[in-house]
Amino acid sequence: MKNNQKSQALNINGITSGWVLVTKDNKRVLAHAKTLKQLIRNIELKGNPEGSISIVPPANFTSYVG
Amino acid sequence: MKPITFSAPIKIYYKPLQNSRILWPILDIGLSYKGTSLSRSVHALVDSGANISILHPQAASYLGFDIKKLGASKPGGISVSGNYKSWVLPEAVNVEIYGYKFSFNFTVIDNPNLIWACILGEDSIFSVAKIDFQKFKGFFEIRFREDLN
Repeated sequence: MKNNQKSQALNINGITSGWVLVTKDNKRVLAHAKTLKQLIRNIELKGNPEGSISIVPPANFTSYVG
Repeated sequence: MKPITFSAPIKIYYKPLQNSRILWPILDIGLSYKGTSLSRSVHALVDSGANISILHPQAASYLGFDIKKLGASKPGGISVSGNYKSWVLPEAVNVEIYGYKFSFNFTVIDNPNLIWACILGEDSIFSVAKIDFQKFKGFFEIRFREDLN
């Protein structure tokens, strides 16, 4: 079965921390800021593009167990 | 016990976080509290290993919760990496998931480095929906309880 999401790392050159607005397909970053509050401001400044808010994990992030 | 009926399944593909190849069960959710809402949906981790649901401190503050007024964070939380302190939000937060509206209680972890804006655990999403994880196919399916919405 085809799995379109398999092994796709979301590539956001140069962004290693903070908050981002990513496209619904999770492939492009539309806005970035150090804090959520600033990200919301940046989204407004960019004309309120559609997308989802997410946090950028550390660059050395390899695994996660909650 | 009266049988519970469920909505048609919604198929959601696992997604990577930024700069990572790990694929996660993530829902796009809307968050609001007393007239304040995040203008865009938020990536929320669906976590069957969490018995509570978590909000990032910045998300809670943006929605209007004054964390400082809640006093010092309280110990008592245990995770795989050790103990944690947290605040329990005094009121529920409105959560919209694929058009379904709920009111969930959240705990705010005293960790500004949390990599999730929101974690939906057993007391929220798992109480209102049936979730069928199919990691081997790259997606999970969610069916919402029809007796709640």
